[in-house]
Amino acid sequence: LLAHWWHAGTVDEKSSTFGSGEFVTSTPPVDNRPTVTCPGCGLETPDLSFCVRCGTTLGSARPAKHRIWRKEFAAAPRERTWAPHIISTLFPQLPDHDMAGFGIALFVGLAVIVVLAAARLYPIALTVACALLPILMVLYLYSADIYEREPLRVIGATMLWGAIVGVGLGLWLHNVGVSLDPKGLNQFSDADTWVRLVAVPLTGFALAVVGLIPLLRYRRYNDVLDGTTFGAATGITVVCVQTIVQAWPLLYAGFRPHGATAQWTVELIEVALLLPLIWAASVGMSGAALWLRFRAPVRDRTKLGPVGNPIVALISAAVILVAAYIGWQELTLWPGLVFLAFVAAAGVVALRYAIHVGLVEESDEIEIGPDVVCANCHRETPLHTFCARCGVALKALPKAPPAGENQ
Amino acid sequence: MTTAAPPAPPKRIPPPPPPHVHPPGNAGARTTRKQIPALAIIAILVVIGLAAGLVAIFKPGPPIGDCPGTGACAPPEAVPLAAGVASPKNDLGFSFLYSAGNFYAPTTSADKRDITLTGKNNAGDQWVVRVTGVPATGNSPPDLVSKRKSELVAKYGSLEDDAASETHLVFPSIGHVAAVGGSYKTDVFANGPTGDIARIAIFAAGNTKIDLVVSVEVETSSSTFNDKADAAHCDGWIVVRCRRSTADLILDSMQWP
Repeated sequence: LLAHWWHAGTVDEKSSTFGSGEFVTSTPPVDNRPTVTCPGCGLETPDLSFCVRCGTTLGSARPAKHRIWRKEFAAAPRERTWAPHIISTLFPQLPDHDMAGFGIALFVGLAVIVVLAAARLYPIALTVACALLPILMVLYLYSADIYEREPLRVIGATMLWGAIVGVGLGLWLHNVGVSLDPKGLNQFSDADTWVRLVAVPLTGFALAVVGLIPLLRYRRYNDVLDGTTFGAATGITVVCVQTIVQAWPLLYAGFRPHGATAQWTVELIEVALLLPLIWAASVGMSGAALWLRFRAPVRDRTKLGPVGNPIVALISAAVILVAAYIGWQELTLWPGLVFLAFVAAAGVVALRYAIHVGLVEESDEIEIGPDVVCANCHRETPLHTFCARCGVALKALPKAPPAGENQ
Repeated sequence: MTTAAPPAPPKRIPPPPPPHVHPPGNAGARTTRKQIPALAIIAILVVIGLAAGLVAIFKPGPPIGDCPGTGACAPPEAVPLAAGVASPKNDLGFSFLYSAGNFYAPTTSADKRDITLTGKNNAGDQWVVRVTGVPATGNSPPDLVSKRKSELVAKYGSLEDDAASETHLVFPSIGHVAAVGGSYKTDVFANGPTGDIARIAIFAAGNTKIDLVVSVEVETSSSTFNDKADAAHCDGWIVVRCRRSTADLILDSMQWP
């Protein structure tokens, strides 16, 4: 990861695992560029490594039957679509090398949490666990300029709203009693079980989705990618703020309250990474469905299949969320960790699929434009939907910088 | 004889470089790839500093004021600790005060790590408070709670979760150290008259040296026990935060080694 991070931007196409085309050092005029018929979309595209219209790898022995089945993840062609990579799913709108930077930041954050837990500084470790992903999300929104020069509107509707919801849920949980043991449904009364495992997650989920609706009004946020990003940011903030508010009394116990280090470490990892991922996937998928239904062209509205239907998506996401909490509560420490990791991985893949389909299906039906420099691989590519050199979706790159900041 | 030099070819104006879709290598011209982890680390350090400051501020200190309703409760000023009787000394170094008016003389184990206090009122209600200390190298507080619960299940036959009642534990604490625990009831009171119930609270906490588990059992007639009424009058049986309950003085005055 480190090597990739430092050497990003200097990748030779010949050594690339995904480039199969000829390395072109000079770009002929667009009109004279040799073209081929893309096996994915059946349209003419410059004879380079990837189809500029659908991102299909040109010259591959067995082209995908449909362009959404291309192996390369549209937002990060180095990775497979169905692999549960966290960084490129949570932060898709970044060039490769910046994704590596976020990966390092996440790794360092988790390492800090483990070290703090090993030192038995549990209250501090828990605070860092609850802050880690929100910090990275804020950095991402800023770095990739997701909010397009309107930070108050976007961050207000996503992370600030998520924080308000999280505070409310955390305070609510203060009055639901204390579990005898972290695991096991029999530790709660029926009423407490209902509140903790069903009512609180569903209320948080519903309020998180409600926070996205105002952003649907704005045409500038018209990509499915915008919906998934806003949903993921809101979901992460809700669960992290809820956890820190719920755990607030821990601060009264001093720097080193009692507890087994292994148990604390496992639960801190769950709080820092797995639960936020599940929330990000649930709310992000719902955001994708809403954006596909209300912001995408009519022809694209069925592209996500049944999950693209907002009603189906919302119900599915809610069921996944509640199931995750029930499994987590019912299982003991290590099985609970494995279960949450499985649900989180499945959620990441689902969210990744929504991003991928959104990027592929939103390919503009426009003429191929003049050559430009791709922000991901730094090589010239005809301006269209995908980079013909590295295969990244050009929409999955930072938005244009504000005037005066270019270069 | 000289030949005329061939005319210099006209200078070719190089074509303008292709425009960048976005600034190369610099996402949105906002952060560089090295700044991202650096900014994240700085933010994490700030969070650590804030958390450490908050923990230092809220660290349990000399008890003052009334129970705030969140976190560990401070003892009430209206109940001077001097009114209590000190528990027997033991090698683990923990001790507490209890109200001599509410209990008979304590019974202890040989090493005085296990102290049991019993009491009874004129209405026939009985209560038992048992405090047990173990070195921190032993079981964790949740383990101690489970173990004590098993012992009481053996005594009463079964325990029903009572977390939904008015007297459920919200923020149990022992000597201002946050504890884990739960509250239970049973209507299978093997040794009492039909209709009697037992209300039970079990909670445990620890520091780096010892762990303590406290159980409070109240055996009373179901006809005379009313959750809401007892909670309202603050003379309920196992409401840990209730000022006049039998266990409050013990819990609030606990001295940790």
